Amino acid sequence: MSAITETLDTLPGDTARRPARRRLVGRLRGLTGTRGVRPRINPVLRRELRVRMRGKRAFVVLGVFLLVLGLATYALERVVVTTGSGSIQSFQVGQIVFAGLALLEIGLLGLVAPALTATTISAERERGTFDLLQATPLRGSSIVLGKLVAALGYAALLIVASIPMAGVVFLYGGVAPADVWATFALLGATTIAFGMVGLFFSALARRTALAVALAYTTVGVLVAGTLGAYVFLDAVEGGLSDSVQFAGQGEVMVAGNGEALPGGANAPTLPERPPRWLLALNPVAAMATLVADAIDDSPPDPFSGQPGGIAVFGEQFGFFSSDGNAGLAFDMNGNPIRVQETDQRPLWHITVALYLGLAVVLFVLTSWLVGRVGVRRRRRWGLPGRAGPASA
Amino acid sequence: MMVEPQTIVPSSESPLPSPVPRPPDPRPQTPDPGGGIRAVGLRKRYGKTVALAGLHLAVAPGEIFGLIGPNGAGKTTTLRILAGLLAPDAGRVTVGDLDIGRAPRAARRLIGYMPEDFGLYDDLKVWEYLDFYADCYGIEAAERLAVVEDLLTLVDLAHKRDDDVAALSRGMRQRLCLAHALIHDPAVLILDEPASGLDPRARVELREILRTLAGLGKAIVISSHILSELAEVCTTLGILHQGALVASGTLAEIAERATGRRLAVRLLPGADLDPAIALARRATGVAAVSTAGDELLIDFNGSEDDAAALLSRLVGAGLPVSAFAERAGTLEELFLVLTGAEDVGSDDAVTQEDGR
Repeated sequence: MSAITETLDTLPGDTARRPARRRLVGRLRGLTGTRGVRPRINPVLRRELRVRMRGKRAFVVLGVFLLVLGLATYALERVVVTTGSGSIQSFQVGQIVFAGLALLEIGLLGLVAPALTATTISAERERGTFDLLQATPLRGSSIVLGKLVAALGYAALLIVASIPMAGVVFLYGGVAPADVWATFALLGATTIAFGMVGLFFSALARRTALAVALAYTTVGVLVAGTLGAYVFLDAVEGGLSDSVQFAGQGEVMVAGNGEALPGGANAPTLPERPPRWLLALNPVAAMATLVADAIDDSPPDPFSGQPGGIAVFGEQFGFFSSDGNAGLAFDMNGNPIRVQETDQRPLWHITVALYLGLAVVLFVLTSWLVGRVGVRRRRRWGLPGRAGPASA
Repeated sequence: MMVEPQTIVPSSESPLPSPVPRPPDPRPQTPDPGGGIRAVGLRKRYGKTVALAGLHLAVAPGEIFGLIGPNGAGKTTTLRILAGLLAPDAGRVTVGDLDIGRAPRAARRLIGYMPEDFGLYDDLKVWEYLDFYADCYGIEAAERLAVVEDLLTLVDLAHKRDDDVAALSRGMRQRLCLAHALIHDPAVLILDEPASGLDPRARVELREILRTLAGLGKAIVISSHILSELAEVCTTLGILHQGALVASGTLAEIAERATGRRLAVRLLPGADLDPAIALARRATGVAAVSTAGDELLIDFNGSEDDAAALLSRLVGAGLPVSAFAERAGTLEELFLVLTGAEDVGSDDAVTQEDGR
């Protein structure tokens, strides 16, 4: 028996603990403390996933999410079918329900995503586990990635759980599968970006309440602020109602009051529009253009084979048309007609790229915030700073 | 007795030169877990407050170093810097041959850290908590469970294995955090107030565990307000005051440097102390004489011959001497001597049992 084992056996306690002590010593000798870190699954992700579905909260959120979506789907379908009875076709019902669901879903995820992440790192600080996490060899980026993926996993659960409801759309038809995938792409990019916004402020602020407030303020600016700014600038610079709208080849060019204007070489110069990136920053606007395009492009008119314009939808959402320039025009009789796709990239493409870029930038910043050492938190606003001596 | 504070630099710890900045070594650093931990010229300032003023510290493998100091002396700052959680304004920390500032991740694999104000994941079960940290340190899944089981046994929490962390008492939480600090078998253990909240039995066990770990070659740095605990378990001590170590070494070394030798002479109960005091004051090597009950406490700076002569004079004078021995000052006395009177009686003063 080695001297070390003998030493362990002299420890107070019952004899049943002695074999375990001997095994531990063997392991301690085997583990020299120089083992490399070879994580298979991010440990933070494992922990977050392990506890995420514990307790009632995750199920309550999921239940409320599905309830709201379900009620909205049912209400929308009933309203469209009832009000449009006799004059609306089946595929149009599907399109409207699809549009409503997509917009509702992006709104709900905009609310949920920051909440999933804005509490994670600040809560570690508040309960005193952050130091222990920082003392491990995990990189800041590993910690952030684990937290982000865990939150996204839950958000993905919300999206996947809502698929059966979205399936109602296919009962009526009118929406191409590619448009559904595009919707998911935009939903995904928005969730990732908003999740990173929450994580960033969670790493920046010491207090969870402050992190949540900052995250929702940012999301509010991105959703409501950009739209408000666009509408304001549009009004200042001539506005939709007074401006000349552009219709593509084969269509008419009309003034905002519906009066036809000459095309070709005599076409009037387009008035300057507010910057398009303002709308591209707005995921709701991007989603609106996406569903508007989806509705516009399909299905083909059974008689002419041409895409059937959805006037009723266009009137409601025309402001967010595919070119992002409020490209809704009216024909000679004042009936809305579709503006052809211009050479501009669809707005939602830009939004997805912008949001994924924003997520990457925030990921790098958040990883730096989490990984750096030597910063004590400034107490006044709960933000990091250099003030504040250690307690002893 | 009011004693002026004095600064003592032990002979084994001469001031070290300031680190010279060097370009980063591009070669991968191979950690040497056997070199203990060493801090050179640590300085840290929070605004106008100087937390550390050029601290030098070296803890060898197998050594248990106790860090003592009043609140605000810089203990936690020191420990956080040693653990790689706080960057010093100047100076550097090496673990073995690793510079913690240049290879923080590799160095962290060699350090086990237990903060004073730690938190636990209350939403995990006890075994899951340790399993999580084992995973963070890259311990293979097949090995994790076994290590967790043995650590739980070591800290006497095996019977709580499947309980929620939230259900643990304070002492149990303390032990669980200690187990977490041991999960990756660190070469260096940094423990901030580890005995706080433990019951007497758990404290005894903690002491034994620390001795065992030191016997395994780990360098252990420990801070505590419970000076008697430190005096009992630590092989060396450092007294931190205003951001600098005012003394370090073994308890006996510190005592000798701080207060000199002290002899205790006990007379039989009821004996008159005055003749003994008078005799002692006239003896060679006696600096001061005071009384404590039926004992004479003699601050002595003479030789062994002088001590023998003193005893001989006392006995020769017919005084009923029942005991004549050298008495080391307690850690509390030394602490007060070395950190000055301003800490005595204040709320921040270190107490004997538990400073809270």
